[in-house]
Amino acid sequence: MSDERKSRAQRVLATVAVAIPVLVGGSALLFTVAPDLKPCLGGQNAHFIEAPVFPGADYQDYLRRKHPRPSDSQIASLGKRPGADVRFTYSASGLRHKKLTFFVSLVSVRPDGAVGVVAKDSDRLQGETVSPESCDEVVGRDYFVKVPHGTKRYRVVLELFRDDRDERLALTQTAIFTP
Amino acid sequence: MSANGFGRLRWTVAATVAAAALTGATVSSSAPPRAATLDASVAGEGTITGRGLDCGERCDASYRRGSIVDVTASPGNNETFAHWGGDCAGAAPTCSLLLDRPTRVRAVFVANPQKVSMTVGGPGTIVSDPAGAPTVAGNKAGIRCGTQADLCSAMFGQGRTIRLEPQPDGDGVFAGWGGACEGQPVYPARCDLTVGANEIVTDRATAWFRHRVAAFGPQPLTVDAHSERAILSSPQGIDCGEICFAPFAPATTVTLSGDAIWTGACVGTVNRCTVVTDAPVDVAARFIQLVGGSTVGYGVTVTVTGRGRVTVGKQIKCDGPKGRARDCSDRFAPNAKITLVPKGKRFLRWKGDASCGRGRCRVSVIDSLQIRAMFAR
Repeated sequence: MSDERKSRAQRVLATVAVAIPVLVGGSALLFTVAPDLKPCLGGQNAHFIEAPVFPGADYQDYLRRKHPRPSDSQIASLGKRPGADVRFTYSASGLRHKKLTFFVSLVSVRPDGAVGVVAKDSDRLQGETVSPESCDEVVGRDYFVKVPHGTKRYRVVLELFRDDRDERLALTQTAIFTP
Repeated sequence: MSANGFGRLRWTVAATVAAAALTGATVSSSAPPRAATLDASVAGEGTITGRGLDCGERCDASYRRGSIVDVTASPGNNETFAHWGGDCAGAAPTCSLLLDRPTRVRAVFVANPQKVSMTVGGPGTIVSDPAGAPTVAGNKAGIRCGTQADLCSAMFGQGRTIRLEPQPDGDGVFAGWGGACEGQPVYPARCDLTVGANEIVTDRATAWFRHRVAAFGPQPLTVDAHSERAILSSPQGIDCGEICFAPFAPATTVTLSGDAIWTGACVGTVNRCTVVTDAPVDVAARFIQLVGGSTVGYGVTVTVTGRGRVTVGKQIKCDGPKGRARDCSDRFAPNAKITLVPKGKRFLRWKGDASCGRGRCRVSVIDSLQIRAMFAR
């Protein structure tokens, strides 16, 4: 190999030897300063961890617990309504900054325990839309389900969709309850 | 029934008789033929009161037929009124009864629910007894946390006592309690926990098992945590994200700390997990972030009955059953102010989450809303 070729190869090697640490260090610094830019590793998935239901709840009490808390006049404008509070926990991985929407259905339960019809006006009600802030998070949320008066037994079915109704990521149902 | 229970019943009957003398109600044993009997009973801890009635468990009183009596359900400590039964229905605490025949009411109270959480390390499972909380609707499974199952938190009635018992695997031996169960006996192994009694630890218990036959020599402890948030060990050795692997002397009791959901050799959600390094130990941790997931919107769902249409900007256009427009729900930003416009000849009223008059309705989207517009058919 000629001297010229040798020195060119040495220059290339030296450039690579400098560039790689600079790139790695720069990326590490960038991800430290702006962690949002760090790519999420692994697959994308979400699932419900638990969804206990609390019947006999009051809508206004539920609204007062929200964060940020709505004003008293806003709470009063929505009236006092009985229902059930579903306090669910879900996990989302690899879905940072995606829009995830919860849909809620109230399903009656027959005396033999089989699933009955969906309660009136309660089929796939569009609930909250959330956007995960990190690559891997477990989050708790409350959802107030308006339940008709009576002695019927119900379950609440929770579904989690990506981008409104494009792709269902998770589904769960609560235990059976009476209003 | 306890001696106190008898005393309470006697007092209640005496009070009922005295009150009846004042109000015109009569106790059932001397009810005149034109009287109607009110039979009241209580499930859970609470009372039913009303004119001539003060009922702790079960009682009855007679009233003039046709009279109206208001009965009120009052929960005891740590209890919530759930609903009425018998001739009253619903969950409002006061019920008005027309006594035109023998009438029966039952007030059902449930203990306020409180969460009990566990983390279990090593070869075994902790099981709660009773298996669930029969007084708390919606949660009957109880705790079953460890190698055999991962039901590591459950709701129990506040003030109730539950017993947590270890079920070691074939190669496991129960080794210790921590958190809300700290100091409880290891032999015979059990932890009696009064739910809600200790607000500081909020019923977060830990337990751990060891192997019956310990391996020889230092044993590796590996933590698998996909996060930069720290998992620390006591005694020192693990500081994961940076140092996620360390050997420990054989049979060392190591407590790992971090706000994680644990899997592997640790199972549960409490922020501490204890394992015994009498074999290679692999623990995985995923992090709890109960304040994550920023809210970007709430759903608004409109239902139309009769002949009419409701529009909300360009996002919602929803007809009654005979119409074609079926865009009846959409997402709106939190606190957005939206105007629902009814279009139809005979709009009657709004129902649901809209307390407006008969025209346009302006609402703030502070939650997921369901609004019904009623038109004449």
